[in-house]
Amino acid sequence: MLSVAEIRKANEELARQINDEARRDPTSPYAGKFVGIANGQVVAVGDNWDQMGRRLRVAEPDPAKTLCLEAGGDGGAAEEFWLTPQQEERLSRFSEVRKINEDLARKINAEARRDPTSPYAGKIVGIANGQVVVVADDWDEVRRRLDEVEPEPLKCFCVEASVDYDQVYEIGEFF
Amino acid sequence: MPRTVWPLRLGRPLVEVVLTDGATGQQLVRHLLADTGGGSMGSPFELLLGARDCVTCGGVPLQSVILGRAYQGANQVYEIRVRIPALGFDQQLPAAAVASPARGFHGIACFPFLNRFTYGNFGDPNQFGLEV
Repeated sequence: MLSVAEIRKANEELARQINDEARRDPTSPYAGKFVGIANGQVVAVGDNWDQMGRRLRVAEPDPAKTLCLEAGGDGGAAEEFWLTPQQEERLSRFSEVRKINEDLARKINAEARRDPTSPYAGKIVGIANGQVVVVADDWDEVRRRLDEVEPEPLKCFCVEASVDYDQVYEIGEFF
Repeated sequence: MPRTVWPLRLGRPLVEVVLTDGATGQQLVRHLLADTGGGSMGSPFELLLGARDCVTCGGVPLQSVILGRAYQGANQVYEIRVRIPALGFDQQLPAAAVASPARGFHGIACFPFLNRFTYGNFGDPNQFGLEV
């Protein structure tokens, strides 16, 4: 079974292919359409966000496993905002330490949410190379300490210990 | 009290921020849609930016957040440096990386960010601004 991170990567790869196709070929079935992807597969295509979103939610109720794009649209999945191949390579180079950091962050998050007396509760926690290196109240302090310990940001990780990362945060539609 | 205002873009409120390229130190000016309805004070992100900007600006990864509606799905969050020089604002903030910021903008300034300031049109319907 794929992890959420693996599903996200598969969704993004497919989104990139669809956007490429829609931009290259105006007769593509995706050109100008709103496309919903879940678990690495196209599961909804519609003429607007609402139509596509309704279909997508039926196909995959867990939003963590989905991704939407406006294929080939100038304001949709604009590639200028996407990671470059060099950035993808950099992320993948540090994926192992990233996973170790993320696992630790999840444990800290679970502990702080379960136990309000945890030393992490309500704090921002900075992790580098699999170790907690700073526990602080503000982002500036966390970043300062992380920069001292590990200059490569992708070998670091942060977590707001008491935040509910499973909650869905609604953002409006601007297209 | 310092105040800075910007003309509306596409009839929408705009906030101009400066990001910093993590490798070169180059300043990157970014125009964000000011959206008081985006997120809430409990949201673990204050901005939405393109994923490319988040990594270019030396963002430290945070846990992903799940967004609904237009950005449905799990989105990586990065902690990055955000400045508004006219206000003397210079802080590290969490920004969610999205594939498609709002049309005509580089990203979105969500409510937790805007609420750091006094915000509004300050009597001129053709502008939007922030004050500290």
